[in-house]
Amino acid sequence: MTVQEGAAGLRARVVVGRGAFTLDVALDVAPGEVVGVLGPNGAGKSSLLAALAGLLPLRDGLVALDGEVLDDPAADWFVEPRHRPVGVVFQDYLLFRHLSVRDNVAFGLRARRLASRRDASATADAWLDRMDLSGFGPRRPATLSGGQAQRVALARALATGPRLLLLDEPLAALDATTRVDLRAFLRATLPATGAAVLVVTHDPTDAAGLADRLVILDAGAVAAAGRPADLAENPPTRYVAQLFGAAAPERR
Amino acid sequence: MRAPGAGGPADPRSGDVPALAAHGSTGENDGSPRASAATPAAEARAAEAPALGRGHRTARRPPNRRVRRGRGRRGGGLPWPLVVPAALGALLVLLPLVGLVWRAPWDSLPRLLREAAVREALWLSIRTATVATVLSLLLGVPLAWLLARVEFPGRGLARALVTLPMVLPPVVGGVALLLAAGRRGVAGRYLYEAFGVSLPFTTTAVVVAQTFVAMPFLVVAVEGALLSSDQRYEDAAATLGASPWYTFRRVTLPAVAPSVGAGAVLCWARALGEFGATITFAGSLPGTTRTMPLAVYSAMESDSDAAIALSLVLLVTSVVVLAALRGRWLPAARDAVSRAAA
Repeated sequence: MTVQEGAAGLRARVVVGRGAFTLDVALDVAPGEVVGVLGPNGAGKSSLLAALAGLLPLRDGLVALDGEVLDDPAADWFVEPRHRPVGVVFQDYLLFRHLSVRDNVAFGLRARRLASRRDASATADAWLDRMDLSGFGPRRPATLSGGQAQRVALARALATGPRLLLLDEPLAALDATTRVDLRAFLRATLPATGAAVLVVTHDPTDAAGLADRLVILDAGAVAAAGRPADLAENPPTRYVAQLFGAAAPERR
Repeated sequence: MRAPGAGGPADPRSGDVPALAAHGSTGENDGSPRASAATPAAEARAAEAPALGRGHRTARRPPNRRVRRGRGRRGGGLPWPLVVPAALGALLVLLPLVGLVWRAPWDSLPRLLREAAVREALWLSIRTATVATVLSLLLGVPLAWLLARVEFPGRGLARALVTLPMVLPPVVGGVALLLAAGRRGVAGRYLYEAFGVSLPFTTTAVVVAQTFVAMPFLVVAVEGALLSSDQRYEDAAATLGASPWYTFRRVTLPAVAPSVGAGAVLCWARALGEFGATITFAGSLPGTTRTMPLAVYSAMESDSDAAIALSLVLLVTSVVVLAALRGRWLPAARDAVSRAAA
């Protein structure tokens, strides 16, 4: 699949490999669109996110965001993670333990010198308000519940205004009730960011509940792609049928 | 599970080795959760195994032996081939200290400590050890970062060489410093020709000797902490737009701060006790290079009471340092365990 530069949103063909394993995935995400990447453990989901964030350089392919090329090994072009307009919400949040919640959210603004200390704090508080976390600013990450920490991580990733947002298993570490609540919260929040959003999950229910469109990975390649309802009703492959059919018992 | 005598009582004197061993395990911030997490499992296993073994033993041994059960080590009596050497070892460490405290001229102690020579040595030691520690922090933390985070050819060798002063006899270090920085030394020659500066036998030389010997303790502490800290936090900082320097200041350094503190205390204690490299490279000039250990040594020849008084000061300092490090390490270990459990 060729990648068209100049188009809005994410245009990517990601080829990365570790040892015998190769991931080769082509992916387009429009601004404001939420695409779910679904697949079993070891399918290459995390490698895909790392490559898009710039934490894992491409072996081949191209990553372009809103027409700006971020990684192009053929042209020997690579934009460092810190210069990419890409926000990442890591699976175990990776909130900075020694910083308050407010300073965590303000971190990107301060690091990029986008705002003075005071302005960054004010912006951080505004983001915490939007995440239903008003008043949590002075607290330490260690005092938060899983759902709260997840929303702080989201606020931290969104505060710098990324044009691509990557979420790695955002619901995996949460208990059932929090999971349902946060899924609804993310469903409402993510499209409103205006960023191209990629959500990685191993859970078909979460994927169907969050994403406008699904890309199903298996063994490093795209096994199927399409709207969640279509895939569930009309699975193109046996694997996809199993995935949706076995969704309930396989859920953790 | 700990052998009698190997714990607290042996520690006060333990300048380097036990403290270093303790540090080795805390240096690994995120390593210790795993290590600590392994411990309960090991204990669980230990609890099962003796239950089995006990059954055997009770079957074979006369009933009165069972009285020892539940005392000391879990799962049986204390084996004398371990207890006797352990007791002797503890005695070997403690007896000299008891002797020092016993023989101390307590009545004349205030007067001795007010003597000019003593106060001079004390003040010089505190000053030089502190400057050496600051110097070690300024140079050693970046060095530890380089060894832990940057891949370069010969890194393994560099790691080994940096820690060499920890096992090198200090007097050899002093000779090496003299040959390098002396007036006719490899580097000292140019220093002398260009600026007329001669390093040996100055207070600066004391600081250099102390830094040479003590900085590796800091480097090892910080490097261990860096290696075991979760580098994904640095990835997270990068995705948020942080430069490597910003990431180091705001993410990496705070994460290893407890180890930097512990390393600095250890470094200061080692610098304070430095003798061999100092006397070789800086001499023993009263007021200029005669630090406390050197003053103890020279006082032994004339006024042994003064030597004992100075020794007591150093002993108390060591105990305080050890207590401070314990206090610093224990909470860190607890955090690690609770993190692993969460």
